[in-house]
Amino acid sequence: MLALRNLSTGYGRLEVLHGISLEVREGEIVTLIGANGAGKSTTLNAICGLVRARAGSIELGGRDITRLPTNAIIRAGVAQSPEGRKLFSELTVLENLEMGAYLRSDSGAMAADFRRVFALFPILEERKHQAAGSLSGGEQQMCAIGRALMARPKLLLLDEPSLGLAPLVCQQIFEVIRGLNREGTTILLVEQCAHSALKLAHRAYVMETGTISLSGKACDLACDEKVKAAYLGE
Amino acid sequence: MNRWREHLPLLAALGVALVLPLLPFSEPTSKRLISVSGFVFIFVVLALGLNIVPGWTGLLDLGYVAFVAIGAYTVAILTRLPWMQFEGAWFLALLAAGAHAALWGTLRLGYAIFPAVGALTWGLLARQPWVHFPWDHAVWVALALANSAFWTWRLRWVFRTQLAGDYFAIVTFAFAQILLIFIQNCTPVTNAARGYSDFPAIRIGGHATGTGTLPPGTIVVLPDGKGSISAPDGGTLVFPRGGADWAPVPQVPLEVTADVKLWLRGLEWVNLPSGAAVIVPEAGYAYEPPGRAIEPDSKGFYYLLLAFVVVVFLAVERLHRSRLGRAWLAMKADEISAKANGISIPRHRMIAFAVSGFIGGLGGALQAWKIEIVTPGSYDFWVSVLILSCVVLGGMGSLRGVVIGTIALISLGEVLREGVELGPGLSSFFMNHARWLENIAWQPTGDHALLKVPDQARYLVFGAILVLVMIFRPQGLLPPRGARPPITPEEASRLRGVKTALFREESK
Repeated sequence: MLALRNLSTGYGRLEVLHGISLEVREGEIVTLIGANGAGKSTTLNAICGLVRARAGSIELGGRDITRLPTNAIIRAGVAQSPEGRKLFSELTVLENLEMGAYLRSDSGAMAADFRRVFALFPILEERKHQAAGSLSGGEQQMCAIGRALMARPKLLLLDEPSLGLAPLVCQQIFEVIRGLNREGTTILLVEQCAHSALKLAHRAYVMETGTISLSGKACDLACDEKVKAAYLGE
Repeated sequence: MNRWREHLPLLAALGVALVLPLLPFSEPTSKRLISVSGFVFIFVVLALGLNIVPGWTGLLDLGYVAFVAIGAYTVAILTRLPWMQFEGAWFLALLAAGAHAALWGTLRLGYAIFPAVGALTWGLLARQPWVHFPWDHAVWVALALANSAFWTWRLRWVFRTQLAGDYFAIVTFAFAQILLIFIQNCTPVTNAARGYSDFPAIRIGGHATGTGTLPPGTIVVLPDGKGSISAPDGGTLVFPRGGADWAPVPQVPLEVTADVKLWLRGLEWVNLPSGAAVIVPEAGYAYEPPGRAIEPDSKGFYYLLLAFVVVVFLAVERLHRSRLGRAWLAMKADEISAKANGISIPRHRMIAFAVSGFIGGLGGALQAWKIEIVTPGSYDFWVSVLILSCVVLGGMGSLRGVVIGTIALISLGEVLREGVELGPGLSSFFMNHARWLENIAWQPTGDHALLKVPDQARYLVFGAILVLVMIFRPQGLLPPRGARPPITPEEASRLRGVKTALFREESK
C-alpha cells in the first residue's frame, strides 16, 4: 500500500534520512522503532508531505505521491496523529474532530464517523464542548487519534501515541489501535515503547541515525539479541 | 445571579441595538454627535476587517491603511467618471472599492515589488529630457509595466515564499508605504497631494449628481475675467450636491451659484467656480432632477453606516463560525497540525487577506464619502496603528471585543479633539498643579479648564492606554472564549522559581 524507496530528506543543511526504504502492506500494522533522533517522525512527516523528499520516492497504492502537496496526500487517504498530539488547544474537542474531516464534504458519512470516534473513545463525547487544551494527556491523545480517523484514512500514521501517558491509558490506546486495524485500517506506528509496539505489530523496522538497520516480522525482532539489548532493555 | 451574568453580554447587545437607531431622534442630540458616531461606525467596520488577519490567522498586519486608501481612491476616481453617473452608481463604486482592495490584499505579499519597480521606472523616465515626444506617456507606461513584469518574474520565488511572523508585518508595512508614495507621486491617477475633494454625494432614487445637458453653442463665461469656454458640441453640466436648480433661458446669462463641473464631451472635466455664467444660445437643454442626497452629517448617512456595521458584523460573525473560520483558528493554533489535516496554508491566508482587504476597502470608501476629501495625508502609517490599537484594546479575535474597543478608542479620540469642560474642582487642580500640561492636555477657557489634546499628542494618550491594557489585561477588554493572557503574574513567578531551582541544580 505504502512504499518508500531510497527516501532522503532533511531540514536545511542537515540530512536526516539517508535513503530509507520501507513498505507497508494493506491491512498491516507496521511499527518503526528506534532511538531519539533516528528519524522516525521525519519519516512520517515526509510521507505526509510536511517535509519534502530530496531523493527517492513515496508511493501510495501504486501512485507516486512524492511531489504532491499535503492536502492532496490527505485526500489520497493518509492521516497522521502527530507526535505530542498537536491539538488545536483553543478549539473544542468537537471542532478538533471537525478539523480532521476538513477535506471531506460528505456530511452524512461524517456523522457516522463522529459516532464511530465517540464509540471508540466515549470520554470524548462527554467532553466534546470542552477546549481541547483542557483535556488530560490521555484524552488529548484520544482526541488526536480521533481527529486523524475523521479523515477516514486508508493509512493511519501514529507518531508516539503512548508519549507521556500512564501505563493503563497506554494499554487502552494500543487496544484501540488493534481494533482499528481489525476494522481494516492499515497502520504505520512510530513508537518509543518498543516492547508494546513489537507485541502489537505484524512487522517492524528498526531505525538508526537515518537508516533502517533491521527489519522483519515483529515477533522475530522481539527475539533478536541486538534489539533486545538496545531497545527492550533485556 | 450566575445566569444573570451569563446573559449580560446579550442584554448589553440588545440595549445597544435598541439605543443606536434611536440616537438621532433623542432631544439633546447635536448634529455633531451624529457625525462623530459616523466616524466611530466607520472605524468599527475597519477594525472588524483588520481583526481577521491578526485576530484569526495570527499574522501581524501593519499596513491595513493601504486597503483604506485603495477603497477611498477607487471611489474617488470611479464616481468622477461620466459613465458612472447613474442611479445606484455609488453602491457599485463601493463594491468595486472593496473588490479592488481585496485584489491587492491577495497580491501584496509578492506584488509589492510590482508597483515599486513600475513607479521607479516611471519616475526615472520622466526626468530624462530625451524621452519627451508625442505619446510619451504611453511609452512610459509600457516601459514601466515591462520593467515591473521583468522584475516580478525574476523575483518570482518571493510569491512562493510564505511569509509569516515578523516578515509578514514588514511586508505589509512596506506595501502601505510604497502605496502612499505612489499616491503622492502618480499625479495622473491620484492627483498627488491635492487628492480629490469634490465628492458626489450618495444619492438614493436619483443620479449620483445632477446633470444638465447643454445644447451645442453654449458659452460658459468664467468669473473675474478668466475667459470663457465654449462648448461647440454641447456638454454635460454636472452639479455637485444640492445644485439642482438651474433653468437657463436662451441668450440670458445664468449664474452658477455653486461649484459645478462641465464635462466636455469625450474631452475632459472642467471645474466651473461659482459665479460662472452659462449662456445658452437657443432652447433645447435637458435636465434630470437628482434624487435625494445623503449628506455626510445627516441622519440618513448615520443609518447607512449603522446598516454597514450590522451587515459587516453579521458577515464576519458568520464567517467566524464557518469551516473557513475554523480553519483560520486551526492555522493560528498550530500551523503544522493544520497542514497535516489537509488545510492549505497559503490558500487560506490569501482568503483571509482578501476578506480583510474587502472590508478595509469598503470602510475606506465610506470614510471618503464621510469626510468628502481624499488626500494622501489621511492614509499614513498611524491610521494602521490606530485601527490595530482598537483591535488590541478590545481583544484580538473577539468580535464584541473589537467593536467595544473601537467605540471606546475612537470616541475618546473625538472627545479629546472636541474638548471637555471640567468642573471647578478639576479645573483648579489642572490650573494649580498641572501648569506644565497646559496646551498639551488642557486649555484655559475663562475660569474653567478645557480638557483637550491636540492632534499630535492624541497618540500619546492612546499609547498610554495601550500600555495600561497590556499591563493589567493583556488579552484585551473582551477576549475571545478560551483565550488566556500569555502568562499570568503567578505563573511568571512560579517559572522564575523553577528556573532558579534548575540553575542551582546545575551549578552544584
